[in-house]
Amino acid sequence: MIDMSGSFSKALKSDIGKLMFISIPVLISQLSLILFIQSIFLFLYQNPENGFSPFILSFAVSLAYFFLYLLIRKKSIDHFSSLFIFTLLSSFFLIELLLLLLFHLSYLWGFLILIQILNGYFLLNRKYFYLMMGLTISGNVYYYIFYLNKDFNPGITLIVLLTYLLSFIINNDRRKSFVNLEEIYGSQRDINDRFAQLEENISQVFILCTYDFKEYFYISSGFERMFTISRKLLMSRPDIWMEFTHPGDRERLFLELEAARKDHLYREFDFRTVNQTQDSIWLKVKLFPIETKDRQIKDRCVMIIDNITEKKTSELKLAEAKSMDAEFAARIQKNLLFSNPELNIREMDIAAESIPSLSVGGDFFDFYRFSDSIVDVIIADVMGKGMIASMLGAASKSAFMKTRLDLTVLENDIPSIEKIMTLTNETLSPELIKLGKFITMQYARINMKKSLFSFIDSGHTSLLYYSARQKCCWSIKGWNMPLGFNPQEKLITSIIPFSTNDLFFFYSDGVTETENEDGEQFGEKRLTYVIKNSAHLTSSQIMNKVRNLVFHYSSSEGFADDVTCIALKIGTLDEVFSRRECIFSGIRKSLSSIRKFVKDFLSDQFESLDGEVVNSLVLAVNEAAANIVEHNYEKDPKLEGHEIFIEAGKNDTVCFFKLYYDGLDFEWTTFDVPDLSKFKSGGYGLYLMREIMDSISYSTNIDGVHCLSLVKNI
Amino acid sequence: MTVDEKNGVRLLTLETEHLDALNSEEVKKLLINGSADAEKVILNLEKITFVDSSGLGVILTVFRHIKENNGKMLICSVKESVKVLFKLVRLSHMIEIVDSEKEALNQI
Repeated sequence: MIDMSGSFSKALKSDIGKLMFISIPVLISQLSLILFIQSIFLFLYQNPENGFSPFILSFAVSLAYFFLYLLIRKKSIDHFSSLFIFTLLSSFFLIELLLLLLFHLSYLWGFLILIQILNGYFLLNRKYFYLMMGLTISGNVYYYIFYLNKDFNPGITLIVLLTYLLSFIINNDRRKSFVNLEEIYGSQRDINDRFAQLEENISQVFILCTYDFKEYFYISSGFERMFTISRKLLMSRPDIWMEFTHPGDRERLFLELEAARKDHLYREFDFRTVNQTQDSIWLKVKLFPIETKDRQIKDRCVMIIDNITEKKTSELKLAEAKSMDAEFAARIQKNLLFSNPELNIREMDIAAESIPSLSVGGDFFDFYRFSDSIVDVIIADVMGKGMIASMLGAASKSAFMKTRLDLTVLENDIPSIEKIMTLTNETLSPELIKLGKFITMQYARINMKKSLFSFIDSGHTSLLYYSARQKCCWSIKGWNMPLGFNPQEKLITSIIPFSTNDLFFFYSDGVTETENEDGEQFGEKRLTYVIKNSAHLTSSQIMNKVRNLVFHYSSSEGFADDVTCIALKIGTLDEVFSRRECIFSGIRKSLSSIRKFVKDFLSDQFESLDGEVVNSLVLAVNEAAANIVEHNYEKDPKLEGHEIFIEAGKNDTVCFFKLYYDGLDFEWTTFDVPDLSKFKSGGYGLYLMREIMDSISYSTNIDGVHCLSLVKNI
Repeated sequence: MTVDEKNGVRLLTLETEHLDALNSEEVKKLLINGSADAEKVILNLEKITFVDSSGLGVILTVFRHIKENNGKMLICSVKESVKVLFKLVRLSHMIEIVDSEKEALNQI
């Protein structure tokens, strides 16, 4: 099977050798007939003069012939053994002829005839046949010259002629078989040649073997080209596979083959081999079970092995190229979406960082320095991930830059953050709505001269504010919807007065939503603790701390979402605020004392303040306090007797009132303009507060204290 | 609160200084009782120095009550400190507000 074309002629010869003995019954009957004729002939014409029994002799020769026959049958007959038999028979013939001539043993005729017939079986080609024919005829002629004159026997002549005829018939029959066989093999050879052409030109290797891969029935020639080992070597050492398999793939290959052996199903797998040149070759194996009714070959399979090194290499190159793309994208992202936080402003220490997740994301931040003391900060997170989010991020960032520039030129002054956000929302939101995307963000402005931090939140995470004076970290909640919801949304600014060593920390939800192995999120509370305990550090130290903590908390190697943070630390400042604080019990009766506190604070702090402003501020604080009492302390009997702590403060440009209380979260219903025509008895408080104040902000700390902060520009 | 009647017009004058969350429920009852069966009502706020959102709610409730009985209501003599609130909620769009009781009587 190994070499189809090479072994063909050999197989043909051995098959012809076998074919000579195929019709054994015919042969035996022929031999019997010869023996019979010979015996009759000898009995009729020859007397045993010399003590030789012709019967015994004939029988002995026949027996010898059978032994010879058995010997020949056992060993495969090829050209040489046929020739050997022919030579043997020829020598028998010559000896007999000699005996006949020297001793005039006429019964030896029988042997001559026997040999003549036998030669018909062992003839390989015409050449030998005619040689044998020539020898017998010459023997006969010689005999006739001796005996014809003395005693012509027509019987003997007839038998001789009959023998020749029989010999011819047998020879012809053999020859015909030979020709038929040659024809069969010839067509077989054609098929084989065609198969060989096919097989040699197919790059895949075909192997037919048992499922335990110990016995190989067929291995195509491509094997030697692919593995650079001979097929004989594989046949003799079936486990040589493993030596050629890449060490890294050995176990996998072993498991695959093991599985194939168990389930006898079609499977496909690839592995690497190392040849002598130490180059890795990627091979793909398709393993088919042989489907046949024959039970004996049930545990055989066909393997088709294909060299896929080129494909794998190109795949690897592609992957490499892709990662290059990703790297470029990340670089572009970094340049487009993130700005340098080094602003060079006195007593302000900013650090910002965004660690991208596995793919490019849509987080971005931006810093803009209006003057020595005014800086704008944007942190934003575009919904989704990938290039689209990233592009949207870049586009949004530039939209803000454009609006800021437009407004600055138009007003010839620094535009308010509310104007910037409102205008950008108007232009950006319709586009975002069309795309079905939205952006959560915070736009903040830090005014170092006035010690004011103002920001607008659009659905982003809360902002962490550490007050060094209070030694407390506040989580400030925002008011507005993300961009991409309502282009006409009325935006609410929160203003936070700050002091020496205060810290602001912006972050994206990637920080708090990072999960550990148990699926527990990092959470805002944990982050608040971290910030509170790191407030004495510099911004970049805080950033490093947060990043390391989140990274170690994370169960996966990378972050699932972009992790973006900005830390903004205030240095040492001159205190610009004058403050007054008072504690009131949380009941309705306190409302008039609260109004008095506000009125007194305003008249003491401001030399001449418009009465309307005073009255409206009194109204706003009254509303805030009434709200706390009504919707908080009165709702829960446990909170009875709890207090409201009010901190009032002012500088040159603003005055603020902060109401601290505990209990339930503030119930933020609506800021909408109330519809008076419905004559509702309540629900105007929040609207009034917002109408009167320039900023309302709400925050909580980890101890469950709430703070409602009202700020008015004076 | 004092209740008076002039030319078939009901005059309600609040005697308290504040109309806030503390006394709004009480004042609401007084006003509704005081305006009962009256077609024309004038609410005099000359003594009130502070009204908050719950006080506003009281005024609106009383106004609705009178309107439902096909009556008419005017507010007069509002102090500056109270006007701030009325301005903010644009109460004048709903209820006529005049400077003095005399003017109110002329207009009603």
